[in-house]
Amino acid sequence: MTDVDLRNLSLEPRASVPERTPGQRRRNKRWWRGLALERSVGVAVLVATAAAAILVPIISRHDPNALVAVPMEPPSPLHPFGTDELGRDLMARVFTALRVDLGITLATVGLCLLVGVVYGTVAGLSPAWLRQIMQRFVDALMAIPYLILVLAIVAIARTAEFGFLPAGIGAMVLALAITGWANYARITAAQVQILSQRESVAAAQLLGYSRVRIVVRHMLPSVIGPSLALAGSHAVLVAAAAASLSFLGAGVVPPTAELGAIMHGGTPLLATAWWISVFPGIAIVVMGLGFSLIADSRSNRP
Amino acid sequence: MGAPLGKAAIVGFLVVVITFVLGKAVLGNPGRLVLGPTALQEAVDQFNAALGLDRPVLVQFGDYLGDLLRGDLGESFAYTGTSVWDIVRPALGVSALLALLTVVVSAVVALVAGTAAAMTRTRGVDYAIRGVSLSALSTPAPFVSLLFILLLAVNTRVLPAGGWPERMVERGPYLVLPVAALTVGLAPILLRVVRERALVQLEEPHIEAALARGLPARRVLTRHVLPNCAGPLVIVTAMNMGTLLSGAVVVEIVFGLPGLGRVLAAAVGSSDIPVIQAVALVAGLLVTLCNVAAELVQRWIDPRLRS
Repeated sequence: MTDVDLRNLSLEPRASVPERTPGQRRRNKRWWRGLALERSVGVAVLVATAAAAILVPIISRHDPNALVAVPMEPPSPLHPFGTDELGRDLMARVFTALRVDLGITLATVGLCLLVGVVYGTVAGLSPAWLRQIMQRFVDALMAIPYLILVLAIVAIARTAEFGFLPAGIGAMVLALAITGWANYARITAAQVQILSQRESVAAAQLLGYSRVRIVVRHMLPSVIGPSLALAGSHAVLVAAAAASLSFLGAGVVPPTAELGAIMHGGTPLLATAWWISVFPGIAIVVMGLGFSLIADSRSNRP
Repeated sequence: MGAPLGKAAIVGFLVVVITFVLGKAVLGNPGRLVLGPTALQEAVDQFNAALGLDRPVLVQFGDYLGDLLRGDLGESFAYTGTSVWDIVRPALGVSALLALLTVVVSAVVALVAGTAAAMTRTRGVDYAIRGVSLSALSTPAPFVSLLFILLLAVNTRVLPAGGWPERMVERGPYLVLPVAALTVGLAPILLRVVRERALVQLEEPHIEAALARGLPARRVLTRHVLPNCAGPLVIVTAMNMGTLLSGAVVVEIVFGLPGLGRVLAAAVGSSDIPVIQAVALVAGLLVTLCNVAAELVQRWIDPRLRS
């Protein structure tokens, strides 16, 4: 920090964005070359989770919504996770719920990434006054705690005369997306602003390339990296928020199996049937760990 | 001094705009909503007119802003005649107390464990910290709360599983598990900041010089390393206030604390739009305030930022 490295001395302002030309991007596509242990574990966990979620019918013979046994039966070979408060097979429900939660998480993160990067790019290229307003709006959106905002949106959307959001999963994804894109926009705007002062961009302008081409071919490949890195940790947050929302009774509509909703069902029975709440909880943690490990390995890359 | 305050004022105004849009533009017909589908059209119109809800949107925004500046958050739909502020104010106190305690506990945990981890600097400790913090971050608030209840309240009965006594002195034990559950979410984030800062600090020549002059390690740590960790710690804490309050919503409901989360859940259940709006507004302004305060504190800690 204090000592000056002569090699870094230059008249150009130093920017923190690594520059990538379109050709370099192709080479960087071989992302598995520097595969860290952490990331491979993360990917393995996620793949296993997704496989379990997709292969539910094969893993468990039980229908997740059918009453198959006595309520609150402890874990046994026939019902490895036990049965829930109504006598449904908990393992079938947890794996089905995993599918629902994984879907909600991926859909939300995808939507946020799209909206955030587009908004951030527009903000970054806008004149200073407009950019300021757009950034302050992002700040304001991020100031309201996301779970409070999500709950407010779900509650208010439900009461709207024609219900502009369908109840349940669709509403959850939209509400989570409305509150989740701000961080992507913030990062992207900053990156675009730095990049637009680059000589390579000026050169591209001199060559007569269109604005769209410059943005898509010369800026976006460099700009998208930090947003992709954010997506991993955002996914953890979204998975937790989705579970919290259903846990609070504002998410999916019963009898849809969702991890938070199952967990909520077991809350009053915690003293007698711990498994109803604990197994869906573990499932969320495992899914979250998969995303966390990938996010962490990205952020720790040299 | 001026720039952060100006920025915060704009953000605060936009928070007001967002909560207004939440309540007014999306909502179809508040009178119909409150009085139900069987109510007479005249009664619905009368209800809307009484609250000024039949006027143009911009005029309503002016009213909303004016009321807010006078400290009037409106009247609850569910409890007619009760002002929203009277519902939100006591809850805000509980939530703020919960958040404050969590921040203090998390900061202490982060400072102690973070510097310890930076100083041992072995692979095992490093992996252990990363592993624990990643697992903690991946565990959602409701599950952390349930695990705590299961382990410490149901199985061993060490602590109460929830509730909120009338008398202030008796509340201590009822705060332990909620604060612990929220700390699990916040402390790992702060710990990583402290550890990274401390690692950088320990490499600095002035630390080496201080040790060479014969200063005891503890003094070097408290006088030279920790003050330099404080700035980032404050900023990151403020940045995570939103996440903390989100977690608090869940934790309050699980443990039965009468905070903003409980008020919000009740309001969501009864479609009490003014209360929902007020909770979002109060929480948003609180976070904005924390952010600007953190920025000012950091300027005060670190003279290099006061240009």
